Amino acid sequence: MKIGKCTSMGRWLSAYLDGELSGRQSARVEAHLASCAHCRGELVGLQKTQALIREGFLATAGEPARDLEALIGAVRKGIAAGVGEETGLPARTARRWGLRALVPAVVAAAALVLVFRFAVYRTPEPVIETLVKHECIVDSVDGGDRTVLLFKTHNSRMTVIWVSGNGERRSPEEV
Amino acid sequence: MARKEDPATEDLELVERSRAGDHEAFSRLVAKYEKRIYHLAFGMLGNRDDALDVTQEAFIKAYRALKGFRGGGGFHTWLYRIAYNQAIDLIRKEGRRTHVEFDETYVTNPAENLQLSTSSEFNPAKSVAQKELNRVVMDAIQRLPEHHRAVIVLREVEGHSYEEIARILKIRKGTVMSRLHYARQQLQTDLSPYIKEGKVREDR
Repeated sequence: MKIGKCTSMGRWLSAYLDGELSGRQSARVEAHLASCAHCRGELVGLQKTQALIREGFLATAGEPARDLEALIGAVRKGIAAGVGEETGLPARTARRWGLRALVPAVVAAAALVLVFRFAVYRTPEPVIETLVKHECIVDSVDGGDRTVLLFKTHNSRMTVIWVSGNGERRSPEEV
Repeated sequence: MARKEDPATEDLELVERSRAGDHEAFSRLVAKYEKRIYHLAFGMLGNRDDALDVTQEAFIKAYRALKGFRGGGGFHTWLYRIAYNQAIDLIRKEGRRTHVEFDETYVTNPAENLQLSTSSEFNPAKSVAQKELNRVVMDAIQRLPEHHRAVIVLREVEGHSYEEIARILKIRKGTVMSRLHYARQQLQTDLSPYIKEGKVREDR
């Protein structure tokens, strides 16, 4: 690395401020700062910017939940209800799940698992067409003894269904 | 003497208990990380409602995926990653507007908040200036590319090391350094009218 010229000091000053430089690197930055008023000014500017960002961010963000218990309750309900079912979550969140888009995805996934019980190594074209028709983008990843099927709903939520080699559905997972 | 438990070990124990169906254990994880996840989401999305939704969904998603959690990088790293992906999904989905919704309910007495304020007395003009400044700061953050927003929040607000940020975002440490430098440069340029003389401008 080259520490010493003002033009290349920026990222080193930034890392210096964060305490992310080695002792040797810090010493070089300090040596430069001692002889360069411009970079000392840059360092002060960086510190002020940092303070401004932190203050402005925290004042605007506020506290996350008005009631932590409410969040925990909503998470529990969401977990218990599962995707595509009545969640009891606030309306905004329920909309986010994209229920209408997920229904065909879940139906198609269930159909896939039922129809291709044995070794699904490629997603057949008609199935892709069905899922595309229902606004799902599909991909499959061959994992040797099992295949991972990817369903992407139009709202970009992605559900992964694991299908093992003998067709047994192991566990639905979200990524 | 009681041994203080390592936070990472404590997390892994809570994860194990959650996997076994202990809701109380998962609630403790929610309580422990809610604020940090919310901050990342808020920094990425710029408004409270979306950030709260992403926070909630990230925990639901994490719970559902607990079976797949290997524990390598630590629970909070994994959780941050889920929330980051959720936020990115939402940004892509909505073709992101970048305006910042400003909820004044959650702004405490701004005059007390401002490190750069010189007077401790409550001053309405200063208060308005501070609110405006907060908005300018959030707008500036929202103008950054999303992967730079994440780095800024994880470093400036949450104080994570470059190593941790690299693990969360699955990028190299050198990339963290570059992104931080770029993002700070950008923010410094955008905020320069407000940091000259080390004071908030009140004549706007």
